Amino acid sequence: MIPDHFILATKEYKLQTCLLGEVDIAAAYQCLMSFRDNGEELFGFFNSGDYSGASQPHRHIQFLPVESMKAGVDEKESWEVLANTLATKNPRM
Amino acid sequence: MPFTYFTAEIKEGVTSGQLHAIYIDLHNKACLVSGKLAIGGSEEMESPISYNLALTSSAMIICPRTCEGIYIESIDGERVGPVSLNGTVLGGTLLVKSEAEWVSLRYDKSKLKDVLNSIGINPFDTRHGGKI
Repeated sequence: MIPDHFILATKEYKLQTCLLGEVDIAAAYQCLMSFRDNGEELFGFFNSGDYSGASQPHRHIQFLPVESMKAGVDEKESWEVLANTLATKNPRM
Repeated sequence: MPFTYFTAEIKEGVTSGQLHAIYIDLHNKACLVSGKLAIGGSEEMESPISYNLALTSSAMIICPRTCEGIYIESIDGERVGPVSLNGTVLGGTLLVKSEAEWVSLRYDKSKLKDVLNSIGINPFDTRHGGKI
């Protein structure tokens, strides 16, 4: 566990292995944006399928505060969320 | 990264419909590279592939998965693990279950490489044209 890790789960029972719906992805994005408005960046992730590292079948998207992901990194070293670096500097379409 | 992934930038003011379309598009690409037929956009449908999705305020990424992780050798030569990776890998982090796993990965970069090599589809595999 990383401190402040939290999850967003569907109210009705939906499977982790089925595709996310528009409401799921919109709720996740909204979560990221409201935290951002309060000065905190989040990293959201979703694991689906046997080989994905998924832990339980009820659909849930997980979030980590970027600050807590940086914990332990030497202050002299720069650290960015990999997803952002991959998307901007090394995009694959 | 030694595994295939698909990325999209998210522009501010994106609508939920656009976000979902981006997700379906990345998922479709991940299916195709995995040799599976893409299944369109219905959320009732089960994904034919395992994958991780990462979402930040500016980017979405999908990485098709073929393996959860591997056992590695500790610095004492013992078999430890498996080191299982989930979507946090797309954030640039990795969660381990024991000190022995951490020490081995921390001090022997080739072990970390082995783990990263094991989890998905090799982007340099010529079967995919070496382009992905």
